[in-house]
Amino acid sequence: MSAERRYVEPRAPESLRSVQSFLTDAFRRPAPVAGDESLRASCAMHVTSNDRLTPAEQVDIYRRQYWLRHDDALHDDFPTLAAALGHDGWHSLVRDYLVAHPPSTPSLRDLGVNMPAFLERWDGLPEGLEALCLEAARYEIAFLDVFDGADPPPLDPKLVASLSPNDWERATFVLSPLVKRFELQYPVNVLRLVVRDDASTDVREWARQNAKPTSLALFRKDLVVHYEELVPDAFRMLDALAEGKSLIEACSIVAEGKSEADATALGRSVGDWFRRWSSWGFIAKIEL
Amino acid sequence: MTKSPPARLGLPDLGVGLGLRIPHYPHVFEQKPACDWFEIISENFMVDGGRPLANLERALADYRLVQHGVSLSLGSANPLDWQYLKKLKALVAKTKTPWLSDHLCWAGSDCLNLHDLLPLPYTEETVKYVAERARIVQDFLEVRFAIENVSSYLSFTSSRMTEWEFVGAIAEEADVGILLDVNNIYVSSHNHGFDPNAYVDGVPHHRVVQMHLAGHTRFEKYIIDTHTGRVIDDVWALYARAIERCGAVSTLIEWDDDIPSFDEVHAEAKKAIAVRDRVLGAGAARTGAAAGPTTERVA
Repeated sequence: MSAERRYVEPRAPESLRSVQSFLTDAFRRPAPVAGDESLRASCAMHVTSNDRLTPAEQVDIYRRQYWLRHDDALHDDFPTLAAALGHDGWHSLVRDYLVAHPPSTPSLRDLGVNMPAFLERWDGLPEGLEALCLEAARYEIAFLDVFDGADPPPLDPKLVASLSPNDWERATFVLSPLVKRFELQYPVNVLRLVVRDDASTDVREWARQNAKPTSLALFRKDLVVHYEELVPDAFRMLDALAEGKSLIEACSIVAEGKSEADATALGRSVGDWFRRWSSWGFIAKIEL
Repeated sequence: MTKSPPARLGLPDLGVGLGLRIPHYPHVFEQKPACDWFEIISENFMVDGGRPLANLERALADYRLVQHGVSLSLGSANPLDWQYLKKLKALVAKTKTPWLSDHLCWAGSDCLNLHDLLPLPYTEETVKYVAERARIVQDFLEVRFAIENVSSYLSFTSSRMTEWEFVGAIAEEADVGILLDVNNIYVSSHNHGFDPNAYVDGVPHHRVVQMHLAGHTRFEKYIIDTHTGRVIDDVWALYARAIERCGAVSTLIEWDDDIPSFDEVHAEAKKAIAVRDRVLGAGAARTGAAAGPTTERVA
């Protein structure tokens, strides 16, 4: 029997439900409570005044903390996005985001999970930096997932040792969930390090100087999150493997349209890539 | 003849510990300083993998850890979050925490979680409701559960009892322990104008299984429990009173903002030990600490 069904939870008193519902709404208001006459009156029904603070002022202490706490938490998770938006833009985003996606789980870790999708339709992105902001958000949420995601079960070394050359050619590979792949217009992985050192970096100027197509794998090894910029062929290869293609099939896809000399060079590179990816734990499972 | 209830509900006195915080990891893991015990924030380790869990293993290898939570939302009108409770129970199995605490508060309603420690109205019906939930939590987790008094910045028109009566009634009805946060008592007494000594005198002392000490920040019209800075003299005096009434109880120094060096935080723990020794006599302090194999060690 599931834990939930083993226990009969008490029903919350209606008065408790009602006051909590009222305060949950009041604490989430972007503007001070005192500025809203009807809210002030409602506060006085639920909260006592004292010789220093009115009911509305007491409620407002919690309201301010709500915004500060979640602004800080989001800033910790999205430092690059915050730098790109600047002070005012960032606070506008936090306000709009928290109205659309108020916190609903016990962990602050989950707070920003909807940010990349939210940004897709948010109209406050700075002109000319839209793509960079979207890429930064996608990269930074992935960073969190890679940081504390579960390790897949280790590859069985006996299985790996027992594979014949023929097996390797027809095997398919399951990539580790701790490997995230990106094709970017800006190397936001580098920008993240730049703003970590100097949060006042002029991101627009940085973007102007550093825009370049970037293929990237983000992964965790020995508890540390790393990124690796990949040449386009390596990225396509990894993509093909992630789609369930065998090694032979993946090589064919990448070699398509190449000259014989280039295809030969590719063959040599594939071995190097595969050895590195294996040592970094990219391969979670080999299926025959 | 009636038998008096056991102090600390029979739980050990671990001495004086510190909150295990990230800025101190290099010092703690590399120098392995002597420290009676560490308190961990449960939620920081309720993740699927990576560095947080590796750090937990390192800490467990050398120290006694006690879990303290911030997100249970015991007093919420929302149903209990069983997904959260299952993760919490898995962590309990890993840490072997001798007890587990969270706050006597609510964190949100209508399926939201505001990540705050919000006060409850002190009424009989709230006592019954929260006590039943605390009883379920303790039964499910299969470890002694303790409720912590929060600092608060508002009070309800519907309250019909003092905060200490409220805390005591829930602890008694649910048969759970109390984590007495002495700084929170001080902060709330200032904000709401009650006598902090009456609070310390009024809680059921045998249910106090742990105490918290911390600094706070004083604003013009109120005090906020920021866990920053040293414990002030008035709070030390209140702590001495609490120890006098409850006996030797595991005590924890919290310092969560503008965190200084480990040694500076540890100096506060040494002060707490001195207060306990002064009030109870040196021999009475850390009587239960021997229960932990990692109480004293050479760095």
